[in-house]
Amino acid sequence: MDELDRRIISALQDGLPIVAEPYGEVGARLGLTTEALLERLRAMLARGEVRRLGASIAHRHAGVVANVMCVWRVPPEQVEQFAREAVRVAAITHCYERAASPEWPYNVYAMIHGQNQGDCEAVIQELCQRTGQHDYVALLSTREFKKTWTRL
Amino acid sequence: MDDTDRRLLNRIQSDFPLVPRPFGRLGEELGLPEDEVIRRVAALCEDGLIRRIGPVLDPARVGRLGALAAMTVPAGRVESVATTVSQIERVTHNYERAPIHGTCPYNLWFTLTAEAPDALAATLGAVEKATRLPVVVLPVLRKFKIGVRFSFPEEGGDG
Repeated sequence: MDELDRRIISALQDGLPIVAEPYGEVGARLGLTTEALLERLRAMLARGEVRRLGASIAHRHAGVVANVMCVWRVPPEQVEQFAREAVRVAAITHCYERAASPEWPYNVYAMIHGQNQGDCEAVIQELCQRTGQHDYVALLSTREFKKTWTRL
Repeated sequence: MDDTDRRLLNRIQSDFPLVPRPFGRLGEELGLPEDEVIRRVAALCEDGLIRRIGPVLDPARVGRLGALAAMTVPAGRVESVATTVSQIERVTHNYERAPIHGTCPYNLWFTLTAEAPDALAATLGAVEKATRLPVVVLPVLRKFKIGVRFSFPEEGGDG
């Protein structure tokens, strides 16, 4: 990623303008042709620096109001098998393995989104059944203080 | 929000067209005139349902380290501690969470990204100093799934 790529990302950080030729408008601000800007964006997507190009949805406005971070204590040798099941569940948007500690022995984290708490609990129950892993803590978000994206 | 909005929302969360007239291309795909696509997307942005249409970065590939951190904040201080944390630009998510199953010592959870390990440590140190509370970091070992996409049920479709 070079200096021009960074300038492009900065220019797009708050979103494309919703006009007929958004890339043309942003390109003009940067002194780039539409095609040069598109080429740069394609390359950043191909290299994986841009994970996706698209709309970010405000869950709460979309009626997806409940979000639960569920953490399981899974024996290390069973983590992969657990994750294979977890990633197949559409309501689970993120699934990570994290380092455990004596104070907090949980090592697998799953973010679950639903229309209500019951939806999320049903997802957790199903995953427990399918994996045989029942040692977990489910943490419901009670207040959202900040939700934004990585900036350059 | 009607069925056409839901179809649009399902379509534009990824692979936003990289062509000079992307809304025209979306219109061709969905059978809508370009100006109607623009009008609908602008309204969804205005309503706050779409936060923005733009590039979602992979922090690791743009030289950023990410971390999840947790704190035990006394009940009366959650608001003020959370405000302190949110004010840090490197913080991307910040939630108060309560257990609905099991027990948990932490009630404030936040994620942050930084350009280097020392910047990450310095940021967390600054939080500890400003709040006079310890911050626990939970390092990632493996990522199995990343990617938020919401499916809006389309009445006319087959799901």
